[in-house]
Amino acid sequence: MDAILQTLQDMEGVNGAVIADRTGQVLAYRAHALYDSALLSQVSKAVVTAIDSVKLMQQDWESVTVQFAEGKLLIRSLASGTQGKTPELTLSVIADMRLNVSFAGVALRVAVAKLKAIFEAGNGMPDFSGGIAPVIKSPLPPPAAVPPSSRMGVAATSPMAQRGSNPEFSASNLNWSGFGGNSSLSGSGIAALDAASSAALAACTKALARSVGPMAKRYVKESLGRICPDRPFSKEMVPALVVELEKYLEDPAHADEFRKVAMKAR
Amino acid sequence: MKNFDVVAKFPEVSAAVVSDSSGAILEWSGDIDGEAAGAVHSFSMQSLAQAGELLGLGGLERASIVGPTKACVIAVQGDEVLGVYSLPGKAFSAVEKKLDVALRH
Repeated sequence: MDAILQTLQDMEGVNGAVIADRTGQVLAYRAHALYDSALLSQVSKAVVTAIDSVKLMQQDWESVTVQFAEGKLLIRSLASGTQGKTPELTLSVIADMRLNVSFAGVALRVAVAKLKAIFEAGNGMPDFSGGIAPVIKSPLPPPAAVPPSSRMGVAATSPMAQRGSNPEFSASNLNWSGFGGNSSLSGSGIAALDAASSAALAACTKALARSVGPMAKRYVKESLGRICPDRPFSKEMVPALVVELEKYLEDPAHADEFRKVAMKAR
Repeated sequence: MKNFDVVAKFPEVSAAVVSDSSGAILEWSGDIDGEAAGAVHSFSMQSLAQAGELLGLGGLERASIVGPTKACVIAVQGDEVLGVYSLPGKAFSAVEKKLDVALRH
């Protein structure tokens, strides 16, 4: 099973592959280090909630493909026609914009067939029929597919380049779009005072993303909740935001680099 | 939704529903329980949006749900959620392409 997940993980643009049960418990995964088991567990629970809802209209769903502004989530049902032998499991693939959807579709069909065969044979997860125990795999290190220097103007020898941050995400516009929004901050629950403040916020997020990848937006949102919970973000708050965001960077070199770049947003 | 009539009249479409983000039905057509579908679409989109936010994938745009007998694409347009049903396979691919064009205008 690990080999199946690894094959999915090896596709360009794939950042993680997760098998979860109908309660959202993660049974196995292969993912980049930025997606830890706690985060994937939260995601799986959200996915299960969505799937449970979808089943009200479409009980026999087989696949759900979710398109986000900066990536995709591909969910496949691992339930087979022979009910009772295969538990209600899902296979989810987390991908960024580099994903070739056609190739991914083929790889997923192969993976689903193999996983179903394993489960039906009853030798993939011996304990899933009577209380599923976590079979969580160690995460992979962050991706280092494309040298950051070629995408972001960062020296290849810099700590960020060595760490191998997610260049695709870093190069994206980080527009803070959310549910119901396309380009403004409104849908994300983040409010900026004006266009300049919005640009400054995006610049800070982008600078942080060089070190932490897609989690940057979440960290920025958390930090804004602390420094300006009841008023819109303004450009003058950049120093305070930078101080807060530095706390997420354990490596002093990363923090130093982030501070230099982010403070230019003032 | 200004293009709802256009979308609902695609020959491949069996049903279409527009709801707001709270799940309240705004418009529907075809053979479907519009109220139930609207609520399901909005609720499931909120959960998927939450998953996307946790993963840092940005704003939710659409979700395609495919089964052996029917397929559905649910698209978020501002505060509105549009769900469109068709048969799976070629018909659904055509719906997805046409919807993509229709929602851009």
